[in-house]
Amino acid sequence: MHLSRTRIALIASVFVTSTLHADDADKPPFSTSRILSVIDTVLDNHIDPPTRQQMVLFGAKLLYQAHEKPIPIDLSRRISRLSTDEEMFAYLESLNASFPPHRKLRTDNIIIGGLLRAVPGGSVLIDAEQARVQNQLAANRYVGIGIALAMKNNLPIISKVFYDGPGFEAGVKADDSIVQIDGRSTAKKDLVQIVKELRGAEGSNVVLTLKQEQGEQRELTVTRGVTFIPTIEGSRQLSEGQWDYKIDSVPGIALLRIKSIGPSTVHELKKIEAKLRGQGIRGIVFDLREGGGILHDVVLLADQLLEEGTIGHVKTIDSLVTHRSEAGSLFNDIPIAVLISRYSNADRVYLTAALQDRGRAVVIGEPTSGETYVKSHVEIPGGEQLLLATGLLQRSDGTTLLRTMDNRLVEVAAARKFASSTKADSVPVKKPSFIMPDHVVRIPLPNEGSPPQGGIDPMLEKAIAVLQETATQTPVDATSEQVSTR
Amino acid sequence: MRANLVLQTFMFCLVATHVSAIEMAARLRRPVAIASSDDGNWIYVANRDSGTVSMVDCGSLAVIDELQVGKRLSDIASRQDTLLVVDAGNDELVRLRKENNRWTVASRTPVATGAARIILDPNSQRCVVASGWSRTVTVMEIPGGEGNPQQVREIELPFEPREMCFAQQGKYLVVASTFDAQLAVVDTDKLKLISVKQIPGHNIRGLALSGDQKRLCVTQQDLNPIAHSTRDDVHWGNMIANILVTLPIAIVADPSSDVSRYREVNLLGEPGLAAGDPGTIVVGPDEEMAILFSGVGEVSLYRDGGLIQRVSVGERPFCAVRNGRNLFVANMFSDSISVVDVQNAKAIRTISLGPRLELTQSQRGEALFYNAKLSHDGWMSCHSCHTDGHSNGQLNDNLSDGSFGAPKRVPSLLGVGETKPWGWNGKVESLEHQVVNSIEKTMRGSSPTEQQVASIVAFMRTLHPRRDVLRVELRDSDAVLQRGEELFRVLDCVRCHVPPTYTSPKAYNVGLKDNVGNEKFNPPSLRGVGARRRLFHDGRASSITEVVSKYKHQLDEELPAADINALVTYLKTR
Repeated sequence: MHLSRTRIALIASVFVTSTLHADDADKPPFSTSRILSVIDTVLDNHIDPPTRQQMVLFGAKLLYQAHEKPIPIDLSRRISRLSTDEEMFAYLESLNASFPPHRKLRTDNIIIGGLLRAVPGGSVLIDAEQARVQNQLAANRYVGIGIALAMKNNLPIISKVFYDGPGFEAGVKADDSIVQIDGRSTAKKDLVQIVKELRGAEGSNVVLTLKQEQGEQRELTVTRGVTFIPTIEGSRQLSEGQWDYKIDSVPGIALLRIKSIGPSTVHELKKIEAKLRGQGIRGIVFDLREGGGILHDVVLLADQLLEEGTIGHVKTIDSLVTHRSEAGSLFNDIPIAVLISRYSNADRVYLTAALQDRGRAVVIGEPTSGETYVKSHVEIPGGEQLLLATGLLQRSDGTTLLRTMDNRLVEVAAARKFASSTKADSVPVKKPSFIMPDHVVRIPLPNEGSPPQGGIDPMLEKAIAVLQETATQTPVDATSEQVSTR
Repeated sequence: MRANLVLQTFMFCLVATHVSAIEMAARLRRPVAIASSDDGNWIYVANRDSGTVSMVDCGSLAVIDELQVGKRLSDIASRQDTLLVVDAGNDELVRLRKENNRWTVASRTPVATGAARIILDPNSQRCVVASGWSRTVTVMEIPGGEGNPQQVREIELPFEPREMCFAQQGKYLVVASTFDAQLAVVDTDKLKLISVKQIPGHNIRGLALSGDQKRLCVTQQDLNPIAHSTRDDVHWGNMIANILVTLPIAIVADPSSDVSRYREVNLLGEPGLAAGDPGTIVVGPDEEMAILFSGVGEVSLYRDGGLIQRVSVGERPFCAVRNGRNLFVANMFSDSISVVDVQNAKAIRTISLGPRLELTQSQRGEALFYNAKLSHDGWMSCHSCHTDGHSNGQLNDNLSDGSFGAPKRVPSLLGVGETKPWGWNGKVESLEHQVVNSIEKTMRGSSPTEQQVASIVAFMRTLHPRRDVLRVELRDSDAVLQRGEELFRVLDCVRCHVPPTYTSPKAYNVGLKDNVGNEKFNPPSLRGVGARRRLFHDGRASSITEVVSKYKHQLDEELPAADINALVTYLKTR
């Protein structure tokens, strides 16, 4: 299976689902070839795959654990001796035969769930329907009735009605409980079943019987359609779907909170730029601390923020792709500050690295940590898809943006050395394999002391201060502060 | 000055053929230019295909008269009792005079080939004609009375000019390019080119000054080579954007300025309701502005910078003029004028320019070629990339090479009917198949009908390279061309670029690997190669000279300068 058949994506955790379904009962009990297809897909596409034996070992271990059986001492040795396809097939068949059916889960799902734990960067199996919904969500053209649903006291309660979506148009309100869907009661149904009943083709109708806690029961017909969910939010919500991007207390500074990066993001940003034009904006804060995104759309966004040049590279198992930005960018010369945290996703790391390396943004926050794999949906036979790490991100100078705990201290030292080298304009030292903010502001971990008081966001405050300083054209000695504030 | 463009003014006055309203013949007109009389009583419409000018009475909103003026008209301008009509079919500027309430042709003056637009200097008796293929603007003196137009200066440009407007009270003439997005400023006192700016994008089809006269307003498109021709990228306007760009006129006129720092982009249209092929801008009083969305048949009305209404008009609204409270819009493929009440934002009348003949297949194809409704949500037409059948000179990442990741130069379609196979890798054996691929996989439109595809192909087969108009220095040309031809043969260029089409059916590895590893490409036809802005599949070469000297395309050793010149000159004449 070749990577070109896949959509390279950095998927936000909100879209990730488990391979271990509770409703497996109605499916065939076991498929050895399905397990081997998953293994082969990992081997063919992962940027740094484990061995086949490692994956089978993890799968077998989880099966023993699921049945609350002790793991045989010689399990690792036995599996490491399997070398041919036939031996592997026979072993998996015998493994299945040695356990009775699980009370809840399919045996092959347990093994697949286990073997994917051996995959660096993690991996999940997604069925065709889930993949379709995830693709719609990622592309910001999800077809549905445009609500978020939660179970409360065994009742399906609408927690959010998306602005301008079909539900909004029809008059669905937040805190409505759904009593009936197309005349069928929702009582005793779980969230998965209710969501299934709400879904349908674009243009089709669904009749909802709704009730507010203190109100009368009422019936609404909702026509399923595309719901647009903004990927960029501002500093303050004015009304449903309307954001103020300027920070009230700080004239001339705007805040754009990038909740996710998808196909609509550049369009949204262009509209925001036009809206902010002529409002005396002297600095913009891009909050990239939370959320995920699709790599292609991250590249499109970087292109809009940078003039002509190299954004970075993606190394896959068989290629090295260079992303370049074209002439023309948004926000002209308005200074940009980027907020980044230790938890920022790979897409944000890639974007921030480009903005920092090209001198377009000053970076504020914590040094990034964790993995920055490019994750792709790879199809496997039968319509399922595997989300797995298929590439590594590189800075424009070729530095791989992959940081492990082992090299963390070494990397921090390298970052300090790099900072001092750029200041002294000496021989360039290779850039760090993570984002070293220009201004380090740390949020204490729960065990490190009290959290910030009164909801004050110290990273945002620092960004505002830096932008205000830039606006008054006072030279900012960023490099001297790079490590001193750590 | 080229020998064939020595100005000759024909002094004989011709009485134009008058056609009264009831006698108007069934014919294809295709209105392409519109002008209003100084007193606002008349609208004059230049019809491209019939070569006629229609006279519309603004009181009765009816066509009162139609004059046979030329062969293929491209623009019209009105001042007092004079109409100046550009006849691109005969490469002439036709001057009409009104005497005793009758219009007569007073003179025909040769102009540079490819004349597309005319503009009147507000401060003098001069006009300027932009000739695209000749890459010139010609300044002409239009004396009053019986005098005939005289050429004052021919100014060469580094691009094919089209739209023009005056700025700074007539001190500057701004000229926009036809294919890519370049802006040139001519000092009208010194008659000298003072500034040329490249801005991102292509297809500038509207050029005007803002209400405060300080900013230049440009309608254009922007094809992003980084975006993919997926449904998502098309839907959100990531692949092609229809935009109104504004720039401070002082910055555009300053040769040392960085114009990109002052460029402001406004999106036209929305996902779900795109505004393919934005065109003419009409700036009205009280911060009013109208923009034609030519590809989707609409006029968009703005007040104080905000959208008021999108008004449906005819097929391919191509040009417009404000007359009192109304906007008169010429619909090229409907042979009609839509009258739009600007204040109330609605179309109040459609004026037919006369009965039409049944369209031929290629005529239907032309209308489809410019129809953005063939694409998803109306973002683009075929013309958006293959500008007027040629090329916008940009790169696009579509599936014509089988995958995303290696954007390719948009090929010119001039002469495409004879250059089988198609696609950069030469894998498409039928032009019909290539059209379907483009509509479905690049424009992301619904599947076209067989009839639609056949019509578009019929139109494409009418497109031919314009090698006759290329500006080639022909001094000592015979010897140079002979040497060029000899080199083309001796260097074995003919192996792949086989005359007369200067291409061949196979794909070859010529050391030009693309980003996703494709190595074999079908040699592009060299017919009309001199009119292309970028060369090679990824547009890496900016001229034929670069192909030969910088990239040494299929050359074992460097050629002497004289041989490079001979080879390049020869190629420009293909």
